[in-house]
Amino acid sequence: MSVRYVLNLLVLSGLLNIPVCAQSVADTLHAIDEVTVEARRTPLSVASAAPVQSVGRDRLEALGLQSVADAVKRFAGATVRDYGGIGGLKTVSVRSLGAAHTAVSYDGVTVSNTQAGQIDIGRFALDNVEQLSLAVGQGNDLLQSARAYASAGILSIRTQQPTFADGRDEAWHVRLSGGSFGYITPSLRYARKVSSRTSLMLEGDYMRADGIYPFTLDNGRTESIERRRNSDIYSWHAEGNLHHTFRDGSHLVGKGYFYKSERGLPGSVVLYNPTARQRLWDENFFTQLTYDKHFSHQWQMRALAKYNHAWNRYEDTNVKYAGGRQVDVHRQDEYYASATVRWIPAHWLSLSLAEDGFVNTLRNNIDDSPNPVRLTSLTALNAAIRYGGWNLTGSLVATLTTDRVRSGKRPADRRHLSPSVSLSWRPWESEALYLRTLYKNTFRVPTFNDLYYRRSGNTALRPEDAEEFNVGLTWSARPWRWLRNLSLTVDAYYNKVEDKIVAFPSVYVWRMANYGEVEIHGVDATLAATIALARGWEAELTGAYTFQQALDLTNPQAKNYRDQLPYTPRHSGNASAVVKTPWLSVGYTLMAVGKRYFMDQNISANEIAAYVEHGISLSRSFPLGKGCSLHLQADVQNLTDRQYEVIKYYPMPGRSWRVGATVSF
Amino acid sequence: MKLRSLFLSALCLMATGAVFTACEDDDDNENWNENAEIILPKQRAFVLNEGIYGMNNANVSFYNPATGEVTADIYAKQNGGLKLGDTAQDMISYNGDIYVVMNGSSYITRLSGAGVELARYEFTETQGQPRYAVAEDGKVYVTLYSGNVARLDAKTLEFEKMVAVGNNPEQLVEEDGKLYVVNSGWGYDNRLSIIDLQRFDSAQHVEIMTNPQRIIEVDDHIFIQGYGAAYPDPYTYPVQLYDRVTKTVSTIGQGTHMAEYGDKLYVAYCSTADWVNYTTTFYTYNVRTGQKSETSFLKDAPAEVTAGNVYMLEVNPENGEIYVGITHYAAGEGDIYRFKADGTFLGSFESGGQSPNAMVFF
Repeated sequence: MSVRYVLNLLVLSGLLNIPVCAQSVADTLHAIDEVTVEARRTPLSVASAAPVQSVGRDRLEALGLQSVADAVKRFAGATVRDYGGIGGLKTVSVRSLGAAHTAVSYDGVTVSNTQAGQIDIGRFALDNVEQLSLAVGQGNDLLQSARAYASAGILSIRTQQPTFADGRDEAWHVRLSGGSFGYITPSLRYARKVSSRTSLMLEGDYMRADGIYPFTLDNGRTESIERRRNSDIYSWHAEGNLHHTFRDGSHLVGKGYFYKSERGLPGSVVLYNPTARQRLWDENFFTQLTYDKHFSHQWQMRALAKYNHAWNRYEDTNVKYAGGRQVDVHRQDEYYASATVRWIPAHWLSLSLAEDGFVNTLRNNIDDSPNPVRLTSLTALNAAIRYGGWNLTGSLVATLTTDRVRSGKRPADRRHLSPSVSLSWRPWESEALYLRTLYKNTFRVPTFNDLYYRRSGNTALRPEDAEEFNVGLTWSARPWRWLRNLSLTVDAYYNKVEDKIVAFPSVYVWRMANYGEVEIHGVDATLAATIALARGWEAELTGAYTFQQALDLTNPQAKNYRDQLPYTPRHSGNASAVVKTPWLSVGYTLMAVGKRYFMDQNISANEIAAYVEHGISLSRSFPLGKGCSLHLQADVQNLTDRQYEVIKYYPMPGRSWRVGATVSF
Repeated sequence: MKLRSLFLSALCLMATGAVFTACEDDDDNENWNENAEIILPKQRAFVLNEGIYGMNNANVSFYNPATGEVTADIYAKQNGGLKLGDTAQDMISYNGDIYVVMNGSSYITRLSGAGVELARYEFTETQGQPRYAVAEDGKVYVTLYSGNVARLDAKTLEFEKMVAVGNNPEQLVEEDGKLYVVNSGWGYDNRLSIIDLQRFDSAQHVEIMTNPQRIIEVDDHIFIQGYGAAYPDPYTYPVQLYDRVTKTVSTIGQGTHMAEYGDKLYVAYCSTADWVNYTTTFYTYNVRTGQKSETSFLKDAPAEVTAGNVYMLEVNPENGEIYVGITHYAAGEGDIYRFKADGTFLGSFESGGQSPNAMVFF
C-alpha cells in the first residue's frame, strides 16, 4: 500500500524521471541487521540518516568516467569547479557551502591543504578507485576520526584492495590507456600475499597529455577556432599498501603515497593576448597507518597516524616581474594522529569518543613570510540510539586551534563547539522507507592564505560558520521481479553561511574579510533502478536532480543582494544507463547544467549558457583462463562536441575519445 | 572599411590643416559619426569600465550629458559586437579621437569620437603590457610594464621606439617638452623618470615617494600620488607637489585620486580602517596661491559617495563638472555621481560595467 502510494506521489510530482548515483554498500552494521522481504540489502544511500551517495568500481568503468571529478559532479548537490583540461584545477563544493567546507578522505584518512583550504580532486587517478562516496553531515560509522565529523560534507575515496584468484598468492594488473589531446597512461599494479595474514600491494602510473584542444571563441562579429595552449601535464604516481591481520584479529593498514607532476597553467582565455607562460610543479608524499581493534562486542577502537608533505613551485615568465620571472615555492607539512574508541553499553546505544591532533606548517620563498605553524585539537563525542524504527545520532565536536608565526601578527586562538544531530525513522519494518532529518553546525578555520597571504591576508579573521538543515524521504524496494532494485531519495535542505570569508576589495588592495552571508535552499533527488531485461541482459539506470537557490545576503545595499551565487546553477541533473549484455557492456551518461552567472550580479551580461553533455562507453571482458582476463574499453566524452564552460573563459574540451586495455593475471 | 576610414581621416586631417598643439583635447574633428552604427551628439562623454581581471568584460559606455542617458558598451555596438577585452587601464582623448589602453589584452586602440575602431597596436611579449597613455604632437606615449615608455604614431598607432624608465611605470604627463613618468616597481621603486621628448632616447631619474601611482599636471604644476610605502609597511597615500626647478617634492596631504580644473587640484582620499567600510574626503589645492582648502569641493555629496569605494575622479575640462566613480568590483556595475562645477549634486547613473576608472569629454 505504502509502496504504491509513494510511487504515485513520485510519478505525480515528476520525480521519477529524475535519477541517481547510488550503489549498495554492504559493509554497514545496519544493513546487515535489516531483514527485508526480498532478502535484499537496503542501499546505504537509503538507510543512512545523513544523505550519502556513492558509486563503485563497476559503474565507474561501465560509464567510462575518466576522472574523480567526472564522477563527483554526478552526485546530487555537488558542484565541481572545473577549470578545464586534464591538468586543470577541480574542486568540489557540497550544497553551495564552498570547497573549504568539504573534506576529502583517501582510504579513510583526511587529505588536507591548510594553505588554500581546498583540495584539487583532479590529481586523484580513477584507475585504482574502488568506491567514491559523498556524505552530507557525516556517515553512520561511529569509529570515524574527529576530523570526519568536523566538515559540512566529506568526499571519501576508497582505493582497490588486493584480491587473489583461487589458490594464487600473486596478482598482476597491467593497463594502458590513451586518447585525445596526447593523453597516454601506462599503469601497473602488483599484489602479493606475503603470508596468510599479510598482503602487499604496489602500484605506479605515469600520465602525460599535451592538452592542446581546440575551442570556439565567439567575439561579436568574429568566431574563431582557437587552441588551448600551455595546457600540458606530466604526472607520476606510486603507492604501496600493506595489510596485516594480527593474531588477536586486529587489523593494520599501512600506506605510502607519492605524486609528482609538472604542468602548464593555461589561465583564462584573454582576448587578443594569447600569452600563457605559467607553470606549476607539484610533489606530494604521505604515509599513513590505520589500526583497528575489536576488544569485545562492547569495545572497539581505531587509531591512525599520518605524515604529509606537499611542495609546489609556481613560475610565471613576464617582463613585468623584476628579472622577468616570478617564482613562488611553497612547502607544507602535516603531522596527524587520531584515536577513536567506541563503547556499546546496550544493544540500542553506542557511544564514541574521537580525539585528533595535528600540526600544520607552511614555508615559502617570499620575503617576510610568517612561516605559520598551526596546532589543532579536535574532540568528537558521539552517541547513537536505536529504538524500533528510530535512529538518533548526535555529535559534539570541540575545536581548538592556535597559530604560531615567525613574524607579523598572530591571530587569536580559536575555540568552537559544533553540534550535530540526525534522526531517521522507518515507519514499517516491511518497507525500506525512511524519513530522515539532520542538523549540523560546522565552521571552517581561516586558511593560511586567508590569514597570511602577502598583502591580502588578514590575521583578524574569524572562522566561517555554516549551518545545515536537511529533511528527506528515502525508499528502496523490489516492487516487481523484473525490477531488481528501485531506490529513491528526496532531500530538501536549508543552509546558512555566516561570516563567510571573502576577498574584499579595499583601496587598491584586496583583503580577506568576514563579510559574506549566504542562504541556500535546495532539493536533491536521486533515483536508481536495476531492470532485468532477459537472461544475461540487465539495465541499470540512475539519475539525479538538484535545485539550488543560493542567495547572497551580505549587503542589502549591494547590487547583488539576494542574487544567486556565481557558478551555482538553479537546476542541474544527470542521468546514466548501463546495459549489460553477454557480449558487451554499454554505458551512456548525460549531464545537464542550467544557466549560471560568472559574477555576483545576476544580469544578462554575466550569464553563462546552460549545457548538456553526453558520453558513451563500450567495454568487454574476455576471460583468458587460469585466472587471466583482458578488459577492453572505449569511451567518447562530449559526444555532441558541445562547446561549454564551467568557469568563464576556461573552455572545456569538445568531443574526445579514450581507449584502454587491462590485463589481469 | 578600416583602410577607407583611415584614408578619410587622413584626408580630413589634411583638409583642416590641423596643426597639433599642446592642447590635449582638440575637438576640431567634426566627423566623429563617420561609419558609426549609432549616431552620437556633439556633446559627448565616455566612461571606461575596467572590468574584472580575466573576465574580458572591460568596456566603454557612452554618456549623454544633455539627457543623462547611458549607452552601455558603445564599443561593441559600434564595432559589430566585438568585445573590448580584458582589464581596461586608461582612456584619453586626443584630436577628437579616443585612445583606450588595455592592460590584460595588451593593446592600445584609437577610436573615433563615436567609438568606431580606427587603429590598434598589440604590444609584444617583450614590450610588455601597457598601462597608461598621454598624447602630444602627433605621438602617443604609453607606459609598459617591461619598464619602458613607448612612442607610437598617434594616427596609425605604429610603434616607433621605446625608452627605458624605472620598474613597472604607471601614469605619465607631458609638461614643457618633457615626459614625467612615475615608477611603482610594485613597491620597490621610488623614482620619477623624466624624458626629453625632442631626443626621446633616455630618462633621468629623481627620487620621489615610494610606490607612486599617479601623476597630474595642473596649470604647469606637477602633482604625484601613490602608496608611499611598500608592503608590509602601512600605506600613507601621500600627494606630493613636484618642483621642476629644484627637483624636489613636498607633501601637501593624503589622497587616492586626483583631477584638475583651472588652477586647482582636486583630491579625493578614500580610506578604510576595517577593510569593509570606507570614508572619502575631498579637498582642493590652489596652485597659484599654494593654499590648500580642506572644504570639500562637493557641496551635497550623497552617502554613496562619501562612504563609497571611490575609483575615479574626473572633471569635464569644458565646464568644470565633476564626476566621481564608485566601484562595487565584481559585486555589481559601477555608479557615477555628477556634480556641477560649484559642487552641487546633479544626479547619478550606472556606468554600464565594472569599476569605472576614466572618462573623456567632447
